[in-house]
Formats: sequence, structure tokens, C-alpha cells
Amino acid sequence: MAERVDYFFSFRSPYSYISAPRAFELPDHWDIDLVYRGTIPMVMRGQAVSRDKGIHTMRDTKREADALGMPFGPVHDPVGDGAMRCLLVAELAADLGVEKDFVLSASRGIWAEAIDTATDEGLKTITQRVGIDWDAALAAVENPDFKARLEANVAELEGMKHWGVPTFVLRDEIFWGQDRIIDLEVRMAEYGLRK
Amino acid sequence: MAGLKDTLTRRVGPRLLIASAGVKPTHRLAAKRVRNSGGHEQVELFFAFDDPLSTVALLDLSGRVAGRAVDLVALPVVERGMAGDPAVQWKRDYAVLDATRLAARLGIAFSRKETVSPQVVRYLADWVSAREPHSTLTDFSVAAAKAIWVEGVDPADQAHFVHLWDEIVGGTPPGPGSGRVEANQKLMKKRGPYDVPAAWVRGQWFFAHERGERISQTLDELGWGA
Repeated sequence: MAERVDYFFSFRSPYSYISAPRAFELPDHWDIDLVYRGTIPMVMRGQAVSRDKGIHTMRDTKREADALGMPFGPVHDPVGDGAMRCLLVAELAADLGVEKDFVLSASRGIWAEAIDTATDEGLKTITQRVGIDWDAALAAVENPDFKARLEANVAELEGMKHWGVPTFVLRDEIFWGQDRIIDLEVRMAEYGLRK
Repeated sequence: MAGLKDTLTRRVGPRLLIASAGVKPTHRLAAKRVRNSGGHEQVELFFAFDDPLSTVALLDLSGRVAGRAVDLVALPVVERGMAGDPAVQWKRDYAVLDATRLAARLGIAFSRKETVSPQVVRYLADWVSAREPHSTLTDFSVAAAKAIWVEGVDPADQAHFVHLWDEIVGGTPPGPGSGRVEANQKLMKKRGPYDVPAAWVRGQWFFAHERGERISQTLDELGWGA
């Protein structure tokens, strides 16, 4: 039976965006089930995010994205409705088994194509290229069960005394950051999970 | 009006910030001037002795600048982090685990598993900041941080660190209250870093425990190759 690795992700986090392609490739190389866990952005759940942190994050992500060969910019910061609508549609995508496609497409749309996912036009662009029915996506945005899942994800993260994303959890061990995937892989190798 | 504000904060602001990342021609020109005058580049490292991630940065960066005409300048601070951050203790606890794994990447085994109070090691920051930056102060900072986090020396054991100071810097450490820790904290805040370890390299800053490669790359781009 494959080992479970939880992947806490936020559409408002540029670091989550640059982590996603490598995260979703992990099950290709390791005997794991990568479980996507949508996470409400820190700033939308009352956590401190200073202006200096925001400035640094954009510059640092640009340098890291360049090193990874990923596009970064043009951006449309989705904080607020844009991030929340993506999180809710991602829950639908998870139920349909297409969360990888949706997360990759939506995060690229936000952080490299300046798609405004707070608008129907923007969100529809994303759902269409993943093959999610638009009416189902609109229903997902209003689905209280999906919202409850997101709140449960945040509660679980905070229950582990953790705060940020992207975060990976393997056997209760936390690996926070797009640049900590290498440490997760070290641990998975120690556990004999290499395919 | 709301639409304009939205566009500025969500699109234009990020665009300008992204454009400002990385080494620019003006940085290269300034570095060239320093080089032509026989000077050295500086990597200024804001760090804290109670922070295990700072220890990773000190150990990593001291190796990275070796062989380059680059000085690693140790600027200790005590107060750090974002004001009002409710996750401060969680972050400090997690930093021990994270630093242990990062040190392992460098082939170094951390022995300390518990956090250290900033006030317990305040005296070390005072000592290092009391004098003008010098390579021996950087060497002392590396050795002291290593003693605390790798060798497991009790940070409250001042006698151990007095001896270390004499070995590396020479003489007795400066007296209490003579340091300029607050000046370092003020400079760090002015430049943008809100936590440590933060390395300042000609107008850009990096979280130094996890951006060693990027710092090396920046030095290379500035013409300070090994």
C-alpha cells in the first residue's frame, strides 16, 4: 500500500505555484499517494503578512522560478475571491480526479498569465482548459461542503503547529517550502519508498 | 477608482517587483568599480546566535565566499521576526527541525534539539557588534554558532565563549553594553529583511540558509567568481 503524503497548497502562494509541477511528479518516482489539501491564504485567516514579506516573496520567487525554468509573471494577485474560488473548484476537481490538472493550470494562470480568477471569464478560462463543466464549477463555488473541507485543512495544518504553504507531511513530519522537496525525498528514500 | 487601485496592487505592483529582481547592469558596474580599485565585495549577513538557521547560513556562506574576493560580514541581531506574528514560537520550534535537515545536506550533524532563548545569547551579539566588522569576528561568529548548535555547548557557559574569543579574536571580549546590536537591527529593517538569516548582496537580499546557490550565482554575475 502506497504511503500517504499530504500536500498543503494555496493559490495565493507563488511558492506553491513553483512547487506544483515537482510535487505532482513525486508519485511518478515514489510509492506514495500525494493528497492535495487546499489551504486558505494566511492573510485571509488573520495571520501577519508584512509588506516587506510581500515584496521579498515576489522577488525571491522570480529568482527561484528562473532557476527552475518556470515562467513567473505577468501576475494577477488572487487574494480574496480569486483565491477562494480556485480553492473551491479545486475540491470539485479532486472529486473528479483532475486536481493535478486544475491546480497546475489555475496556478499558472494566476502567476504567469495574469488571469483574474475572481471574474467568471477568468475562472471559466481555467476550467475549460482542464475540461471541468462550467455550471458544475459555479456550483462548486457555492458548495458549503467544499468550504468545510478547506476549513478542516487549515485546522489540521494549525493542529500540527504549522502556518504556511506549500507544506508536505509524511508520517507526521513537516516539510515546509518549495525548496524542501529534496528533504522529503531524502526521507522517502530512507523509508524505502523509491519505485 | 476601486478598479484602478485593484489593478495597481494586483498587477502593476507585482510586475514592478518582478522586474526589480536579480542583478542589474548598475550592480555589475558598481562591483566592477570596487574590483578595479582593488577592493572586495561584501556579503552582509544579519543573523542571530539563537537561530539554528543562522548557523546553517554562517557555515554555508563562509565556505561559499572562500576563494573569492568577497568578505562575509557578520551582523548579529537579537530582535527579529514580523511584528504581531502569532506563529513565532511555532516557527522557532520548526526551525530546529528544518536547520537539522539543512545542515545534513552540508554533511553537518546538529546536536541541539531545543530552542535557545535570544536573551541567553545576547552577550555574544554584543561582543561581535562592539567592534568594526572584521574577518576574525566572522570567524568567531561561525565558531560560536557551531559550538552551540553542532557541538552542543551550553550557550550560557560564557567561560567557553570567552576562551573561544581569545583563541580567534584575541584578548578579552568587550564589556557588557558596548555592542551595537540595535544599529544592526535598524539597518536590517531599513533594507527590508524581517527575519534572519538574511544576506545582503549589493542591493538584493536572500534568506541565507536556503539560498546559498543563488548567492553564489549572484556573486558570479557580479564578477566575483571563485
